[in-house]
Amino acid sequence: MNELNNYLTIDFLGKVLKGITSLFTLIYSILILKDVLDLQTFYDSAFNIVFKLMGILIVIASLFLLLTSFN
Amino acid sequence: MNLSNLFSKKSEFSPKFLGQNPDEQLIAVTRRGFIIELRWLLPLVIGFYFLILNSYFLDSSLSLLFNSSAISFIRVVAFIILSLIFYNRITDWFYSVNLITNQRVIDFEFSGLGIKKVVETDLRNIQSVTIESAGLLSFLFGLSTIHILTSGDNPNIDLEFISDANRIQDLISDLGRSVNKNERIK
Repeated sequence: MNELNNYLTIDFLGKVLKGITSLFTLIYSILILKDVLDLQTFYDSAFNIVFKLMGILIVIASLFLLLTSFN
Repeated sequence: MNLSNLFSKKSEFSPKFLGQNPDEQLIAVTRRGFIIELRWLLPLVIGFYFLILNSYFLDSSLSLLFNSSAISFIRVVAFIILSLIFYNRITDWFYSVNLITNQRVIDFEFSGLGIKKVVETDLRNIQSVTIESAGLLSFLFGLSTIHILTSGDNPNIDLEFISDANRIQDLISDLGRSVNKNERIK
């Protein structure tokens, strides 16, 4: 019973740690995307769409990481 | 809101940069030489190499502490964070441009999250344009810094690590001279 409790506690802590890490990654990626969108208002380039897509892709990856971290 | 505007062409005057005047023409755009960016790019490439291509080192050191599920999670997080650093740095380099128009010189400088510096000066305020080339990187790859000295309280502008500095110096000097000449005629 004690071993089971220990296992469940470690499992729970692992999930919490994963959740916090994923949340941090998601917030960091959103902040960087916002920063890049700000930069794009300063200078209009043909590459704007490429950088926008790159940023959105990284945010989606971070979101996916957050959703899967609780499994 | 008229939905047809969403698909219509841009207006006749579509500015290329923030604060562009209707009669202002963009003449040249310069930015730091990409070779300078190897300072952060090389460590990132090494990081990606150990993460993707040569994962034995990472796996063997982490397997002492974590199970396989946790190791794969750490690898994904590390990959996303490295990608974010790359994304942030490459966009900072790309958008940190020096714009030379027929009216002024503008220096956009971005470094890191939310750090922005914009310096501009009118062509008529330019006193002198100096090229400085110092250091091994500048010597090897032909990069120079252009110092634009302005009159009075106007800020001086430094265009750092420019690859075609002689052409840019000549361009700014010529533009400054022609603007001052036009002012005198008026």
